[in-house]
Amino acid sequence: MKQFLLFSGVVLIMALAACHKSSPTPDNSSGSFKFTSLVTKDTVIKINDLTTINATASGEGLTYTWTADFGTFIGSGSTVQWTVCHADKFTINCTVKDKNNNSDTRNVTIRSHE
Amino acid sequence: MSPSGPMNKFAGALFLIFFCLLLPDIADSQCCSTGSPSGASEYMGVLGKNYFRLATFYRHSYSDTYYESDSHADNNPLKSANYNFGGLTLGYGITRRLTVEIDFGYFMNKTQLYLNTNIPKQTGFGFSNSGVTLKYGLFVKPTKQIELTAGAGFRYPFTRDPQMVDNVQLNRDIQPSTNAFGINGMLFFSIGFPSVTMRVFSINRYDYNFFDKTDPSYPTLYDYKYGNILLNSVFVSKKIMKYLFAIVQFRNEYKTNDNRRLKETGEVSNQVNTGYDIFYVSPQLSYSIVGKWNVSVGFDQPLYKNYKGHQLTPAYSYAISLTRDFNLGHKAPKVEPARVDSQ
Repeated sequence: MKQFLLFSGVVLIMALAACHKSSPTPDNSSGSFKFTSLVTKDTVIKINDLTTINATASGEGLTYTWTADFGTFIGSGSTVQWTVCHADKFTINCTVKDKNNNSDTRNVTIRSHE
Repeated sequence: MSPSGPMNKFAGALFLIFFCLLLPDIADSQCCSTGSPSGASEYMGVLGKNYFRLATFYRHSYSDTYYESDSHADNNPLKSANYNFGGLTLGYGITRRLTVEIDFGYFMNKTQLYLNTNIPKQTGFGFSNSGVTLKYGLFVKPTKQIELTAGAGFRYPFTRDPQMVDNVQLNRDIQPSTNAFGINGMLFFSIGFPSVTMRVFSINRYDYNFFDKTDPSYPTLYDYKYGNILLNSVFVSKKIMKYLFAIVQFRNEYKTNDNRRLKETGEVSNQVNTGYDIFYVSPQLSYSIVGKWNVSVGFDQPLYKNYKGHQLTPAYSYAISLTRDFNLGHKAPKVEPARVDSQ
């Protein structure tokens, strides 16, 4: 019984260790990764109008991820357009990641009106 | 509907448990989306002991009109929107009074076409939320064709994070899932009038949605909560010839506003363009294929609509469903379980 419990404990620890999600450690030793700016063409728009948002970053193998709790993005990559169908204040987020897993997130706020 | 031949009752239960692990919901209407697909499970009471129910349905919905309050509105972003949704509900009668149901669904598409031709067609797709419901027959008298059943359940998402395409988050209105948990309660009443081959059913259901909670690494400043929905409906079914039933459903859907909560401070704000009050009439036909499979077709027509703010409103939707009950027990039942399309 004791052996069984010991065996079960070892299996459980191994299983938990296997389940642990380890993310690769970012490496920016060369200092090449930098998210310089996130700029929107308009900070105030009329509802249903389009505005352009541009992310400027440096580094190798960059990916740009765009999120917002409302609104529609058009396009992908470093420059996107965005529109929304109702009036409020919205935050648009951009996360830039390089091939060494360095990442940074910035956001801009856009207000829409009738 | 006649009972099927004897089957291993445990096979049905295991089948149900297997699907419990898979399941998905109902995406809510927003300023630019088309509304919520109704599942088949909401319209049925308890099953008999060892009965297994399989119900599948397909729904198409189309919208091209905006409302503000109870009248048409102009200055609209969308030309039209539509979705195609498939759902599956599995039910099992644990005892004569207690039934467990699981349901899930899949959006084949949730599509928006903008009036601004510079904006390409937007489409989302994927699993909706899943639900598990327990129904208890408070008063079940099959011989008198009377049933009063209460139910409670929960809904859960397959993922807590919104759908992305090319590293760009899709518009909330075309997300297939709420990405949040929910709970619901329901009351079902049925009474039959055998002398005139009619049944009357009512269903009252309340769905409460919780705030979503995205992964901590997900870049958003807000949590989001879809509004709660109160659904009240009355069905009248009438046998019009052998195996063929005509059903009329009157349904009211009332949805409260959505809420947005700033993660940092917990401040909650009301989302204006998200609540509504709609009355539908839904004529349906149901045909029993050799007394085993039931095929139903229905059409939802809104009669009255009242929206908070400026919102896209459903123009029409139709659904086709296929249902079958299996008796997994060894004994033939005295009376079949009640359904909207049985007499």
